[in-house]
Amino acid sequence: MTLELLQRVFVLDVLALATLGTLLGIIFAAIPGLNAAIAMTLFLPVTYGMRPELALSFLGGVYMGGMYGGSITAILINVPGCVEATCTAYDGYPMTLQGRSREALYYSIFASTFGGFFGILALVLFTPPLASVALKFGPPEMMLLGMCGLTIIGCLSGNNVWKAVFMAALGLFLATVGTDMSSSVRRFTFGNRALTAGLSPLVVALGIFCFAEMFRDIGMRKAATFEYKDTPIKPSTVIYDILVTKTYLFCKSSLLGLFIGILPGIGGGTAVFTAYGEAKRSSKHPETFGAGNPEGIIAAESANNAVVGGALIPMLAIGIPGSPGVAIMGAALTTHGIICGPDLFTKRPDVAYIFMYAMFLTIVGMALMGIFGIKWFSYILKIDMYYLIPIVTAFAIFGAYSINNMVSDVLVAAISGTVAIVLMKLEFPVSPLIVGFVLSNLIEQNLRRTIQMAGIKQMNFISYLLQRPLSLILVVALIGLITLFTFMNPNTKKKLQD
Amino acid sequence: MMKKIVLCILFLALVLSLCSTPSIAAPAWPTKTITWIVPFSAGGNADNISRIIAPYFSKELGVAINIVNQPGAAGEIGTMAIAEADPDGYTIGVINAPDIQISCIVNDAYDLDFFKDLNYLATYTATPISFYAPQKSEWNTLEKFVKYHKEHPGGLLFGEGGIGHRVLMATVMDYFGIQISSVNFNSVADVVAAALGGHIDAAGAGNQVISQFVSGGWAPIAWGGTEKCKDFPDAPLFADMGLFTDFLNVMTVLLTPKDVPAYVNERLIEVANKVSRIPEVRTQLEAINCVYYFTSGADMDKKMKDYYSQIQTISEKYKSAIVLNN
Repeated sequence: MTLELLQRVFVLDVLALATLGTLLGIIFAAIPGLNAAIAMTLFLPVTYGMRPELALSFLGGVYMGGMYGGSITAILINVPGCVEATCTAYDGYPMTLQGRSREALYYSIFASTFGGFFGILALVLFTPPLASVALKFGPPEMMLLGMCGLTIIGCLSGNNVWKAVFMAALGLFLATVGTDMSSSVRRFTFGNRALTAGLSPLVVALGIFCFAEMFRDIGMRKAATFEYKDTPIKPSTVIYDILVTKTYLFCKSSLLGLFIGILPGIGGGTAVFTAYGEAKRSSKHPETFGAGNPEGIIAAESANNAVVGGALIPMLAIGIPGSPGVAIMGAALTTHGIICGPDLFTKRPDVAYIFMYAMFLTIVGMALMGIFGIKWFSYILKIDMYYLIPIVTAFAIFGAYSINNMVSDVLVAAISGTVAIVLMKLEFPVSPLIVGFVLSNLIEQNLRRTIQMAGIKQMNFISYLLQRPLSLILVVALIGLITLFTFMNPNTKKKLQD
Repeated sequence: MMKKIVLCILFLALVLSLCSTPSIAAPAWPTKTITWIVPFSAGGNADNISRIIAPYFSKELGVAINIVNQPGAAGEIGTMAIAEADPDGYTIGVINAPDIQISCIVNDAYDLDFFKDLNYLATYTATPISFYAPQKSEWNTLEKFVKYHKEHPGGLLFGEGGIGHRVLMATVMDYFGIQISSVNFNSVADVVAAALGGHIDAAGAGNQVISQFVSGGWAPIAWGGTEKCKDFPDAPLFADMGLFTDFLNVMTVLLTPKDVPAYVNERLIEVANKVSRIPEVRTQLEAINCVYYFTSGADMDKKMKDYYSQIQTISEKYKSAIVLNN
């Protein structure tokens, strides 16, 4: 059976479509504002005419490539192509400033490749048990997981933890704007219809990271505000470093990406922030993070590509998509009359297995494109700024518009970018804002569900949490993380030493 | 002489050409690409249905149809975009009933006037909602479920994935005189995940997700629609108990802005009827687990308005259960 399926994987149409999908995913994600989910939406109608396994392999390629592509612009011009590439910019761009862009890009592609491989291997080998683990996370556990994710702001706070807490709180607040679906109440919309849909985290991140960067660069002549150097490095050195020297970091980050990917509705952003925070927390030199430490890139990139395999697990096993991108793949299958979930493995196991094996092809394709593309990617640094700013801004405007096909989103992105510049001038760290924004809905909605559930069971909120074993573990983890990050903060350390 | 003959021929040709064109003809429509707005994200049910139906419309109308997703605020953004589009027939779209009626009734801030802003033209699907419970639970039949609630009012965690499900819950509460406590999730997929993880005790969800529930040891305890569930014939139909829930069947309805010329609506209804006779349409819709149900024109319009009144009656009585305040 396996041999027969493998023969059906290594055929021209599967190979060609998986590779094409990966290439499109890389290109879309590298363009600020566009991401894998947008590319998949755009290409969804194209897949209707394909056989189901081809449609899935193509969209799977877009998804896998999309998780890597965002890192290219993040490293080279400090503009993450998508939310998942945010943490890659923290260390990737400083490496570019140090003339180590090639090294950073190698770390990015190899970490993405191995992380992606880790995720897909778990998908092939452990789908049923991992899916059942994901189901153990109910609303109270999801809420606590979101709160654990929020503690990462301790890592991103810089020198003033209160400014970071303020920014995270601002992020949590901004995400509440819009119509509350349970009560139909409009929150902070001020009668503006465009705001009833709420603010999209993609749009705000685009504003903060892309528009702000471009606005700041106005007036500069070259893309790089430094003398461009391209220090050569052997790919094998990077591979050895990831797989041998930093095995633990790589495995831990990939595992976090995989696990957070499995949990429905959380998404790649949370996985990346958590993996990056954990890498910094456990590093012997946390002060080097944000200043060009390749460990930051390894953590972020291996986690975001491991998310792909993770997010596919609940989709294939029980029909519950782990991310918006995977939901679109589910839609592609439904139009072929195949419903994801247990039926998929009993009625069309060929489609499921060919797709899973073809995902390995997308990883190989991504690796080849990433490795051989490095030489060409660096050309972006040689472009004159007066060409680059309008091009990147035009793509960002298009990207902001295409998220919901709304002009108001472009305005939101531009305002976010302008406000971000002012905040940065005042030395407020902007990353905690995105962390708060991304986690806000997860925490709020599950908090409300937990309150409902505790009320129905006639228990108080705290007792309800503590009587659930998994919740209890997460409460302990949360307290542990808060303590750790508090002691990690340079100011607290200094006070303790004094 | 020759000149006169030529002139006569030209005059005759002119007369003939004028005669061949009706003096009061409907303007040619459509002549350019039509935008089809789906007020939900790509991959959702309304999007899937639109992407199945739209190519047949495109073929019949002879122009391209561009599907545009405008999600946000439970469909409100996209629905308003359709209602406020130029009424030239080049912007049409779909909405989901009964969500649109419920939103208009319970959400005072909704700008849409349900009766004045849109024309409801046709639907191809009407997927019912059912009640599910774990097979090994104490409340694994509707009778036991009702009995449990009489003894423990609101004592079970009842998962639901949207306002339509809460209206069904309110309808059942009204019919049996019981109190059900809901736990609200964002989508049916989230309800299924919570059910399979054992985080809720019972659930209201569409018939289309039965296989996912069954895989986790759950089964329907009451079945929506007019035909019994093939795999669980013991599950009673709501209709058999005299509880008619047709007005809550999920329909993806084709619409146009109110002031669109009559000939546009007529042509779209004509095309909708023609498309309904294509066997592949039904096969494709059933393949994505939708229940095929076609209606169009005046019947569609009447249904939408009748269902509005039914939903209004139940919503007014059970507003606190339908519009959650925590």
